[in-house]
Formats: sequence, C-alpha cells, structure tokens
Amino acid sequence: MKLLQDLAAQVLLGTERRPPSLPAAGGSLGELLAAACPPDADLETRILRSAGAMAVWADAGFVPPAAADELPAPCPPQTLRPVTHPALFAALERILAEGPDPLRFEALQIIGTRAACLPPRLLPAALSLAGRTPALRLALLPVLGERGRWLAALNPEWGYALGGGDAPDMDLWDHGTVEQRKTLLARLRASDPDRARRLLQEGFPQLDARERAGLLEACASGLDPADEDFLEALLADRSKEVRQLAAGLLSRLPQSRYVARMGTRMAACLGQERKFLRTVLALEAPAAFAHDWKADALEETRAKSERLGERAWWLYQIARALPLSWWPAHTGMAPEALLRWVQGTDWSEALLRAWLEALGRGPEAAWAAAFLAQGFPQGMTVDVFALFVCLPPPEREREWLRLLDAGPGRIARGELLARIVQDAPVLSESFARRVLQEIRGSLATDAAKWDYTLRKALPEFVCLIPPSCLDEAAQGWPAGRPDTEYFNDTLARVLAILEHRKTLHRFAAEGTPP
Amino acid sequence: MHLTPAEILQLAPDESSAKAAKSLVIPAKWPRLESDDAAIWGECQGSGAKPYQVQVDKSGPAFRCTCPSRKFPCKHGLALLLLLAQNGGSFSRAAQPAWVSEWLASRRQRAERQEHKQAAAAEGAAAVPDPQAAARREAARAQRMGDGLAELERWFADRLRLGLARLPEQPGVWDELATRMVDAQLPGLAWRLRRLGSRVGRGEDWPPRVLAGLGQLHLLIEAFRRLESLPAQVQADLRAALGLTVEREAVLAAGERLADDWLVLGQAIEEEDRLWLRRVWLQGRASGRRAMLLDYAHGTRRFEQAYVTGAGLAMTLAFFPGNGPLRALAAGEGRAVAPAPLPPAVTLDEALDALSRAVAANPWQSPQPLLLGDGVPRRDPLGWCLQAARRCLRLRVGDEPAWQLLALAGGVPLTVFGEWDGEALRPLTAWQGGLAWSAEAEAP
Repeated sequence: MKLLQDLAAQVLLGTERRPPSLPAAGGSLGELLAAACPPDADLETRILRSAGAMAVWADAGFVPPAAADELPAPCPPQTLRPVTHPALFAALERILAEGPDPLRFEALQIIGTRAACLPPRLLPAALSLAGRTPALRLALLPVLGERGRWLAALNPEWGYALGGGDAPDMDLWDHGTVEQRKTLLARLRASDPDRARRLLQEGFPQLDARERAGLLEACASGLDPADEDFLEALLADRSKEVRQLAAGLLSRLPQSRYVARMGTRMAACLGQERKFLRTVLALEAPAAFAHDWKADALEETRAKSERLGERAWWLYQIARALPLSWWPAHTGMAPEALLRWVQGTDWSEALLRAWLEALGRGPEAAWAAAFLAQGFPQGMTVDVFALFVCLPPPEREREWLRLLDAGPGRIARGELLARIVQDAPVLSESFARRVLQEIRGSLATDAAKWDYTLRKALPEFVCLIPPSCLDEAAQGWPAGRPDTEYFNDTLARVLAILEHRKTLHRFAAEGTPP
Repeated sequence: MHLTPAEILQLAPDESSAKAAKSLVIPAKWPRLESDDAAIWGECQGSGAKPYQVQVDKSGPAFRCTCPSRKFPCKHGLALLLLLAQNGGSFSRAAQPAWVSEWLASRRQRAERQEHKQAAAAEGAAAVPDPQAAARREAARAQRMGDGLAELERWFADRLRLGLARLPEQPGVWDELATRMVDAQLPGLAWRLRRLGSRVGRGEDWPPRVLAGLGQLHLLIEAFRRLESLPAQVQADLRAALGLTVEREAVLAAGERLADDWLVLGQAIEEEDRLWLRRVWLQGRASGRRAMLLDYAHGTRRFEQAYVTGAGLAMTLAFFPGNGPLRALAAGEGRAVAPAPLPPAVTLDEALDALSRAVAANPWQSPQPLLLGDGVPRRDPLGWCLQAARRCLRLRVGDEPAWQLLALAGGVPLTVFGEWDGEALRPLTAWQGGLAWSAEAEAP
C-alpha cells in the first residue's frame, strides 16, 4: 500500500506536468513489475500496470491494521438464566418490536418473576426502547442480567440502566441541567431526605425563578412535615410561580400551619342558620379580600376567563387548600350530606370545584361515590374517570359498565377503553368478559366502524384482562364478513397479543423452562 | 422445517406482503387448517364466495395459492406458515386432499423432468441452431466490446495525464462511463466503474485506492485483449468479471457437479434501480467447499427459491467454470436435512491465508466469503470492527445489528461469516453453539 501511496501522490497533478518515477520494489514484486513494464511501453500504461499489479498484490496479502488499544473487559458470567426457549424467545422478540407498552411491561416483569433474564440478542432493542419509554425501565432493569449491564456501559445512551444501585452523581448538582438536578433531587429525597432538604435550601435563593420552580416540583415526591418550614418561607418568594407551588405543596400537608390558617378562614365563612324548626349550616363567601391573604399566595383578582364571581373566587381558593377530611370533621356531616347541602347554597360551584381538586390530591372513595351519586350542576365539566379512579375496583368496574351500557352516544367505546387502560388497572374476569362481548357484538355497526380509537385501545385492553380469560377472549370474533373487514388488522393484533400472553403465562406458571 | 415468525417474514417479497400476512393470522378466517408430514394446507376466506386454497410444501418451503395476487409467496402462504408457528394447535392432521397431493406430485414430476433434461443436455452437446448467424452475432458483439474497452483505456490514460486531483470535479462521469459499458455489453465493468467512482474523494486515502482500481481495470482490459492466449479457466474468470453471461443450461450440462449436504451460511440481498440481487452462500458438509448462488429479480424482491439461513439442504450443485469456482447453480431442488451444527472455527490468520489463495486464484471475484472464528466484535474510535490477534478487521454494518453482535459476544470471540469487499467485512451470520444471528435483508 505504501508503494501505491507514493505513486498516487506523484500522479495527483498529472503526468504532463511531472512525470513520476515508477516504484522500485525488491523481491518477486520487483521482478513482476519490471517484467510488466518494459521501458518501451508508454508511461501511462506502465503506471496503470504497476498500480494494478500492486493492488492485486495488496488484496492477496491483506493484513488488518493493529488494534489501537486493548479489548474492553469481557462480560462477567451471567448470574441469571437467559431465556432460550424458542417459542418464548420468538414471542419476546415480537413483543419488543410491536408492543403495545403494557404487553412489553408484563413480558419483562414475568421474566423477572422467574429470575431469568433477556437473551443477549434482544438486549439492544430492549435498552433502546426503555431509553425512549422510561415507564418500562422499572421492569427492564431486573432482567438485564450481567450481559445487559455490560452492554449498557458501552453506549452512553443506555446510561440510565447503570444508575440503579450506585450512589447518585453529586457533580450533577453543581454542573447538571435543571432536568438532571431535578432527577438527582428526587432520587436523593427517596434515599436521604434530610440531605436532599439541606442541599435544596442552601443555594435556593441564588437560583433563577425557572430553576427554583423546577426543583420545587421535585419535592412533591416524599412530601413530609419536615418540609413545612422551608415551604412556609417560600410563600414570600419573589416568583409568583414558586409561591403558588409552595402553597400547593403545603395544602398536601394536613397538619401544616398553612392548612390551619385556611381552616380558620373557611370556618369564618360558615355559620348557623335557623330554617323553620331546624338549625342548618350556612355559607357566606368573604365580603372583602383580607390584608394577610396575599402572604398565603391567595390572589385577589381573577383571570378574565374565570367563570366564578369575585367573592366566589376568594372562597374557592380558600376551600381548595383544605383536605377533604376537614369538612366532615368541622361540620359533622358525611360527604353525601355535604354535597346535598352545598347545592342548596349560592356558592355551590366554588366549593364543588375546590372539593374535586382536593379529591385529585388524595383519593377518597366515599367522596367520589357521593359525587357520582349526586350528579353535577349544569355547565360544570367534570372528568368522571378521575372520580372512578378513587373507587374500589368492583365499584369502578360497575361505573365503567354503566357507561358501556349507555351506548356509543354517551361515550364511544374506543374512548371508554382508552380511559380504562390509562391506569393499567387489574380487571376482573366478569368485567373483561362483558366488555369483550359488547365489542364483539357491536363490530358490524357504523359507530364501531368510525371509532378509530378502538383500534388502538382494544389491543391495550386485552393486555390487561386476567390470564384465566385468555383462551376465551380469542373466541367468537366475527371473521370473513364484509361488514367487519375493516377490523381484520386490529383483530389479528388482538389475537397475536392473546397468543403472546398465553406463552408468557405458561412460562410464568413454570410450565416452560426459560 | 421449523421456522420462527421472524424467519417466515424474511420470505416475504416486500414489506406490505409481510404486513398483510400478519393481519391474516386469525384462525377464524381459515375454515380449514390441516397438515401432514409433507405439507400444510388450508382454506382462507377472501373477499370472494369461494375460499382460496393455500398450501406449503414443507421441503422447500414452496408455496401455492389460488388467489390472484402476483406477489410470491402471497400473503396467504405466509399467513399459513405464521399460523403454524403461532397457533399450531389450530391445525388438524389429515390425509391430503386431491388439490394438495396433485400439486406435490406435479412438483416431483417437474423436478424429475428437469433432471432428465439436464442429463440429456449433458450427454449430447447442445446443438447450435444456425452456426453462421451465431458467429455473425458473436463477431458484432466482440467489435462492440473491443470499441468499449479501447474508449475506456484512452479515458484512463487521459486521467493520468491531467492528474487524479481533478477527478472529484466530475462526479457524474463514472455513471456515464458505466452506461456506455452496458451499451458495449460489458455490465461487469459498469458495476466496477460505479464502485470506483463512489470512492473518489471519500476519506483521506482515496487517491491510492482509486489508482489501484484504475490499475486493476486496466489489467482486466489488457487481459481481455489476449484472452485466447490464456488458460481456459482464467478465460472463464475474465468473462465473468466483464459480465459476459454463461448459459445456465451449459453450466448445468457441463459444469463441475458436486452433491453434498449444504449449510446455508448466509444471504446478502441488494437493490439497485429496482433490480434485486441475492447471493446465497453455502458450505458443503462433507466436501468443505464454499459455493455462491447468485439470483436476480426485477421489480420486486421475489426470488424463485427461498433459502433459510442456518438450514441444511441436500442437493447437487453445478459450478460455473473458473480458477477458483465459487458461483454455482442448484441442479434440481434441495431436500431439507438437519443443518450442520456449526461451521468449523477458523482463526484470523487461517481466514487471511484462505483469502490470499482465493485472490491469487481469481483476483476479480468480489465480494469474497470470509469466515472467522476468533474475532471479538467491538467499537473503537474508527467504528465497528472484529478484533482478533490484536488486529482490527473493519465491519460494514448498521448500528442496530452491530449492537446485537456485541450483545451476543459479550466481549469474547464469536464465529462470524460475511462478505469481504477488499476493505471491510459485511457480516451476514453469527454462530455461537448454533446459529445465533443473521443479518436482516434490507427493508425495501
């Protein structure tokens, strides 16, 4: 190659300008070149023949260049057994490639419960997938095995797979981005909350508003009465966003001074009233915005888009800071009675909204059930699915079925399934059976044909049905009829998922070796 | 025959067929699903009143379906195999209905007829219909080729006079030259010119590489001028390098024949201008010989015979003539046999020795097959490579398959088979106990 390089360098500018000297090689190559290039041949021919001969020579004698460094250390021996069973391997490969995510999660989890790990060939796909979808990491990390961790160390994009057991990288606190510091803080709050608190408080005032708000958001996880003093101080922060975040966090601490102050303010709006021969609870919104309210992050003026009037707006802000348990404790009334009562007052919307918000902070089944039983005033939009989440599973399923029975005019079946699968609940056999029966029966209708959400939601739904229903769920689907032709793709996907899940659960039940 | 869904989908002629096949994996759409030792068959409800009759001969796999699709294999055939892999329980064992047994019988007859024909052709040399017309055609062709080669030679000399440094100014010239060589009935040169053109200006060391390529082509031109004076096998290699076709019948009739259990080492599929090219690499279990089956397909990735990487096939190959014969044709259909467990482990030094011998025998063959047992796949600052004996063999491979190879090896050697193009190895298959990895055919 060296001789070729010399020759090429000489003919870069052309033989007309500078005739090259042909390479002088020793040994048999030299003899070959001499024989191939008699002096009477023209110059270009001699160059090309030399180049050609040297090229063939180099091809035949090719030796790869020496390695620049040592090989990285090989992977330590596996401590878990990688999955090798062909059917399970093939199922895993397709599950990783095609999803949906709930199925991927279940598959990884099941491998974990059998103390097995992913086969090496599937590791890159799984690591990339969980890089894009953090929700899968929880299930992936235990099944990476030695090989997976060894591999992840070679690709910076898979670094997330290594952080698990190690000490958090404190350098990030000083030099990382807001996102990295937030993640670090959240991790530290779980492992060493006191240290996390100190770290946050030390440099907090020097940060800019965006960073202060960002880091404060990380405090929502593992919130503790020990955080109260710091949060209380932040009610006087320069940034409105930080003040409101701090107020929101304080209202999640039922024993905090902040909640106590709000309780006092609310109590001032409640009174006794004689109606006929009974004493009833009376409610009157504040008449004026008190001077000390601003210090607790209450706002005097409301947004232009706000439906509530000025006084109702003040009332609403006070009420939403209170935990729901405050109301029965203070009034001696049960949730149903309170809901009935508030609808008779002038301020029902302010309180209903405040209560729904408080319900979102901490699920209270009794309140959710009372809300659903009572209904809502006209014009108020309420996400009933958020209420369903607070209910115990059997009641939740009963509410879902009620919507299903109301038909697609109330809510499209695809939309309903999409909402059901959102929280990946554990479903009962009878519920799964009813839903599938309903879907099967309605496939030939126009409503189902135009329900595009169903095509995505149904495959996710069948990821959640109990393992005991898998065989049954694959039966009874219409096939070969022109009016359900549109559904073939979805159906094939559903059947493939059911088949994959059967394979997985046979393995989970130790019927198949890994 | 036991194929995984991924292997089955490899047989699909294109991506949309694979997708369509997946959406037919619904047992309820198949009123009949049956099998025996030789074949599987079923009836699939299509849009018409009469269901399609779909069947797969397990020995191939070979497909047949009564649907009107031009794709081959069609979605029904693929779906039938997918059903067998995923819902094996849906198939019942049964005696072959007439439409299955007739097809299988006709396949056997055809294979026998073909063998007879080949045997007959081998006995009596094929009669030339009109020797005078053939000679005239041959003369006209030789004239065109001679003109094309002379033009190329002049162009090379001009490049040297003006200097290689001016080549990057004319990126389109290689394609023009290639087109003219196709007109001159020298397609082998066209391909080499395009490859050479793609190296111009790429990387710091392009001038010596391009000069080497020009020199090799020059040798090819000069060798062709004195073709008659060369040994017959070298003549055959030169003709192949220039892209002159040898009649398949002639190879089947007169080529070297070798019966063996062949292991499918790997497959490479490439596409250029809607022309699909497939190289299937085989290794004989008893003979140890390597062979390559080269097939073309126009318009779709549809090759007559499907091969499954890692499978074993008992068949007779007929080799094209040459000094290091590699290209071959299958004489008749193969019969599936248990695959050889693993090709013998070869060290880098041994592989390089074999490569030297192959280049010495026929310097025009590209790519060369390369099997390596002691390489550790890794990533170094220059990219992906196989490291063996403290040396780095470059890999031409995408990131995704490269990570798979790394994961499989875990930092220790892995047996890799691939195609060597003189600069880098394109990995096609990896073995570890058994077949552990095969390159996916590039998606269309």
